[in-house]
Amino acid sequence: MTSAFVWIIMPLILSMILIILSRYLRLSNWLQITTSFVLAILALVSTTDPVNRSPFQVIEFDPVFNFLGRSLVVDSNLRNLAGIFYFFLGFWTLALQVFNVRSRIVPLGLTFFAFVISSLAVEPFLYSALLVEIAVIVSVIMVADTNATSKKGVLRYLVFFSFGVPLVLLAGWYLAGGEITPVNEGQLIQATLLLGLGFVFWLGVFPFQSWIPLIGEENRPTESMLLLIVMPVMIVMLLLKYLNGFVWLREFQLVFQALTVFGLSMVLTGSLWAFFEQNTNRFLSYLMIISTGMMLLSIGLNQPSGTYLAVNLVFVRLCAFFVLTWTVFIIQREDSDNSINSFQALFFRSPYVGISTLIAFFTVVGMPLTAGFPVMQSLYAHLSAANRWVNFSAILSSGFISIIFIRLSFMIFSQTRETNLKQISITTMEKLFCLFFILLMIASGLFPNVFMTGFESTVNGFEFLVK
Amino acid sequence: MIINTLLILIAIVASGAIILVEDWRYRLALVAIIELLGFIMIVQIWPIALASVKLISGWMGVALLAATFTFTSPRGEPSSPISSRIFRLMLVAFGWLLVLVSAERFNEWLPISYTNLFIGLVFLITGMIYLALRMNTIDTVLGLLIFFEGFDVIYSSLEGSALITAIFGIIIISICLLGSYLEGGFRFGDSE
Repeated sequence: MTSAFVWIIMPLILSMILIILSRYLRLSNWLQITTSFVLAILALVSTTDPVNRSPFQVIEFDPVFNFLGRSLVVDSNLRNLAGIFYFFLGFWTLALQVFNVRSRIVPLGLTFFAFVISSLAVEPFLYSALLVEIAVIVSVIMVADTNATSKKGVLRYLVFFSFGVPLVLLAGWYLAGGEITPVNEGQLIQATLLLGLGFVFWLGVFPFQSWIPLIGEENRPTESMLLLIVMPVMIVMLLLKYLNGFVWLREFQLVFQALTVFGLSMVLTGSLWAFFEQNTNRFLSYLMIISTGMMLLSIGLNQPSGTYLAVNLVFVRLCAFFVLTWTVFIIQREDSDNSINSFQALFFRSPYVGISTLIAFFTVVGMPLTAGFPVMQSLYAHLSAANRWVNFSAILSSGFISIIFIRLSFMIFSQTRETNLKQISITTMEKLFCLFFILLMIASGLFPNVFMTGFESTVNGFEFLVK
Repeated sequence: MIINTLLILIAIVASGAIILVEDWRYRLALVAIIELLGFIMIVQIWPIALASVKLISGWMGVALLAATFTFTSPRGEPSSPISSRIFRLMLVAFGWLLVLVSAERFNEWLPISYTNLFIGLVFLITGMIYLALRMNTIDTVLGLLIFFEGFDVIYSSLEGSALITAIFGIIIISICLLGSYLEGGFRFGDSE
């Protein structure tokens, strides 16, 4: 059996079945949860590289699936990433079940992740842009609220990603020639410009980031945040694949300098916008822009450690924003207040929600004893060695964010003058869910290597970037 | 030569008209004409079977949008003032001018027929202008169809792959389905 069949085609088929079963909410939820976790565990216990198999990898899959003269290659890198993505989807769907939310993530989540993985798997990978576009279309159906008064965010997202497709396809066509015969300097600059512009649209680099807060604001966080968390991670992995695959691109210093500039612009503008933001969903979206910017800064270091730091940041992103999304969901479910003031006295209204929110915020900014700390420290150290001004700017933006988080901490722990403080009602299952993630975040802060090694295995195969 | 010039002229007229007309029926008809023009360009390079996939997927998309709009569009759309129409015409004329001065330069690094490149660029620019001028769902979808048709005319001349044709066809129909869904043409699940 081929690995592409397991992590791409099978989820697609299951998603179709779930569409038929969608009227049975509970059944389809549990089917998606089970499928996602089984696919994630399969990624752990299987191998596509029999030479380097570990003792617990008992199943062997063929990494190549041929289709119409092209192939879908799920190698060990992508197998690990697929495992992480399906774990994430499994937890997200579990959260939907625990918090009793009806969402189009069941059944479209599996389709979305199947296309996300296929866009990273397709060879020759210049075709990935087309699969990215399909993933975008599926995600819009998954996220968009047809009853919403405004759909600006999803439409802008669709337009910006569609603008990126021709640029990346044309760059791919140029660079594919460069795989066989060396391209000249002029061609290289043109291809780099095309590719760069494409990724600028896809990653939401300033000034093309407006769709990110709009999607957060206009749609429910239970769907929109999944998209905002996962999509940039996929694009960053695609970027790493391009960098690893094309020697001309990798050896062109301007590429890494541009990545640093893009990353810095995202970090600085994101933190500035977040500083003045009063809407919680938009605020979270800006934090995600900063997180993507940090990943670009890491890759821009042009060092193996930079590549590893980028994927460590993925762990921080998935973990912290997952918790933040669901805590924000609980708060908004209670009093449908999207303002940042809804954090007022949160600890006294629900200690579980208050503590998990706080730890997630501190993880994002990289406070000591959180999972973000070793990653951010290492990033600052590398940036300091590479370029002091870039490092200063990154620390400055983290400073902005820290100020907001300290203000939020005061808010969370401050008592209001109201004598009858309205308690947040959460069920025992929801409490257990929050507790599990509080413990997970504390454990990942205390023993970061245990958690991050798995993430580093998603880039170990990029031999030109990590060796 | 005469046919090529004629095709370029039709492309310019169609792109100008789609920016100007207000009635959604004419806009959809013009998108269908643009798809047909794209097909005529592509069929000169590709086998007819492969090229017709693009035409059929494009027209299927237009038909889907027309079906949706028949049920959901408000009757009697307000017509825009003459100054607005002049502005839009000037904008698209600026786009044509841009294509005219840059097409030869583009032709140096995209080794394809000049007619294909010119028409492709005209549609590409028109799609972008259309997307910039109109912001509702159905117009965003129409803008994307024009934009992708422009790109398709250029890219098909560079790369002739059955897989790409198939995926592009899926993308075009999916975008139209998405537009139909967002306009309330059909419901998916009952989450709301």
